[in-house]
Amino acid sequence: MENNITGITKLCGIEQLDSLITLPALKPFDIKVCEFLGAVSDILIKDKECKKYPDIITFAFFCRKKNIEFIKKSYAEHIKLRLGQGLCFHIAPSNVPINFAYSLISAFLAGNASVVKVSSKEFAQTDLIIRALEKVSEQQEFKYLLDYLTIIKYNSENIEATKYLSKICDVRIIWGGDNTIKTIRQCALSPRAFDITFADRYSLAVFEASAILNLENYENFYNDTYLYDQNACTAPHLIYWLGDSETVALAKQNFWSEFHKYVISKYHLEPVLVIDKYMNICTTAIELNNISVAPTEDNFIIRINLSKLDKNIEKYHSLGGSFLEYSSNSLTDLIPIITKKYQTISYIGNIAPELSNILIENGVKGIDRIVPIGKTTDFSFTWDGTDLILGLSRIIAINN
Amino acid sequence: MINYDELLKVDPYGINKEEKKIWISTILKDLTEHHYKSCLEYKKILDAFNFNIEQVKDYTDIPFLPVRLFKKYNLKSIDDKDIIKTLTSSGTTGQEVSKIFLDKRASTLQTKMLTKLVANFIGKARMPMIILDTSAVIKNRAMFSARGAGIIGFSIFAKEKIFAFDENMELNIEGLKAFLDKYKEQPIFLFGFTFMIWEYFYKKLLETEYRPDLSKGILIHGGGWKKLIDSAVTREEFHKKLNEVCGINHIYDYYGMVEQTGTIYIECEHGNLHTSVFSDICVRRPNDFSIAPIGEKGLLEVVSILPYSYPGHILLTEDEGAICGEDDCPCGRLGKYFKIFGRIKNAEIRGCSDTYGK
Repeated sequence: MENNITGITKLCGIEQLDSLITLPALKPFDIKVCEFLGAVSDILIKDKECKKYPDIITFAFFCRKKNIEFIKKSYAEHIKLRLGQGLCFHIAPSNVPINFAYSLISAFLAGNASVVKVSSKEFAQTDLIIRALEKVSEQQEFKYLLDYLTIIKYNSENIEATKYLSKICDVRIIWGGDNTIKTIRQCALSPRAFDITFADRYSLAVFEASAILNLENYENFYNDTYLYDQNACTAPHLIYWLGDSETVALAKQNFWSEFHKYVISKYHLEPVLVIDKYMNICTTAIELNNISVAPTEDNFIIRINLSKLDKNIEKYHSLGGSFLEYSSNSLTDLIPIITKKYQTISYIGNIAPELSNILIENGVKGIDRIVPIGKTTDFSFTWDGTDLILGLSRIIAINN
Repeated sequence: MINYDELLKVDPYGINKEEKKIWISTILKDLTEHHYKSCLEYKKILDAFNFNIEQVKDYTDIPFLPVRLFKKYNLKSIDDKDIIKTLTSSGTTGQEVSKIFLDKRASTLQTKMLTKLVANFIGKARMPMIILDTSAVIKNRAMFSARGAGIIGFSIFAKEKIFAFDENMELNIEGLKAFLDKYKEQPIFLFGFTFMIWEYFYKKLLETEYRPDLSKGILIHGGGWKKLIDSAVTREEFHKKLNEVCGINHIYDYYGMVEQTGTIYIECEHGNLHTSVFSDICVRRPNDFSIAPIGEKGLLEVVSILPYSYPGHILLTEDEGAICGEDDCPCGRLGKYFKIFGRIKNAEIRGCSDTYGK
């Protein structure tokens, strides 16, 4: 079968892709797997080259022995009679270098072998992580595990490759949004296999105006937004200001003028995004009523003020620093607009309990996470409402 | 109502910068008020910016529309019943195209202005004309592509015309031979789109032994360098290679777009694209839209006094350019002169949704 497939470059892992299906499933949080990741973490943290990449460092910290043990404990009751699903085929997004690594370790810790298609672009992060995986597997006790961590590259137009891998896998994990999902789904899975998909999502932030007045850290919000060109699914596009109009006005003024200083000192604004953002203003103005654009001295932060929250406001988003703003005295205005597409609410202020309460009481269809600002891109095994450890393993029922 | 017939009597390259700024700003302000009253979408955009016409000192204070907006919306300031022609951009299959709505007056004025501008470069006399394209482009008269509109517009200079390519884009060598025989020793006017000329005229001539004598030819071409830059052909090379296959010496490039048809910026013998009194160029810095000084590269804003039937009088393009000077080009024409560097690049955007990446 594999003999017919050309154009696949193997970066790490098994010799023959055909042999992937022969690898036995492992137990979730298998001792050797946990040790392996701890060793990878040690190498990455010590590697001088990795220090240049904050995303690698964050990943290395996630994998360190203590953290994995901590997570393992939280799963202790759930994983007793579980095994990995088998073989996971991951399609990583083309623009977030580190994402493939999280996808891979989720499947690994859940007990699976993986074949990961990484972005066809060159990222130093990919090479550094592969180097660490290979280094650890040089130790005899870990050698057999490298096959479970197969990493490949091929051109997205190579449908034959996708068809082949879709056919042999037990779970297919698709990152990269709606268009990628649509394309990949044209390749059939075997009858019992299934997809875990990460579609385009919409995220927002709720700012409690009174809490903003004491805010000193602007890096958090920057990391949530501009760091990934406001194109991460977790990046807020709507700012929902909570408070009385006077406090909100003051808070807005303080926040945006301070944040602006931070943004212009760090962000490189691409001309094409300037046009996109301007285009978004025009589209929003035409399709919604009574919007107003906040006057700005430059194009780094575009803010569009809404007098009411329309149901389809997620249509009016743009990348690279475009924000819709809405103010209210209560959280209730938020409820009618939330659809399946809504993912993360990041917040400032002491509002998480009230927020989760109102969402649950109203039975909203969307919103999978509520996190303080600065934490939106933090990885967790529960992503988009799915627990990856449980989703990527199966339970064996025993009746005595 | 703007009296265009009076306006178009003005010498297109004869007003200096102080006068021109006032002249064109006055007309553009009138146009802004007209579109504000007549086009709801335009009004909503200006309102979103809290725009107040009273505070406008010159046209650069008036918000521009992004050219891409004409791909997304049918923007017009006339009644549907008055539309006689819809121009579309020549997007490749699958791409959205711009739609530009014209009434009778707009259509006539476009031709008038085009004639006036081009005559300044090649004279008023009608000439035998070779259209370096296929007649297939202009078959449907009601729905014009930019290519078709350009051909029709420039045909006004033709005494007799011939299409150089047949329906299959093959070079009609026999037809050209007969045509050039008939008009031996006379100036010949040639018109076409830069990329078509290169692909279907220059390259095809190279394959054959045929070397037409176009040493008396005057070629006007436009439609962008993007495709040619992709195949690494520079302006100098374009001129040199064409000269080698047909002896042509007079080649004028022009810059223009379907969203402001009729308003074109023609390249003079010194290689500079010129604004006329009917149009202007403003270079904007992407970071803040401030106006870049002479010599600095930025996004091009194009303005024209023509668009009355649709709100296209002040537009922000996605092209990069730089002003080279104003009123002092050695060719003697007044007005700004500038260079184009091509379309802005699609950036590598980070983030988990593969918006731009493939």
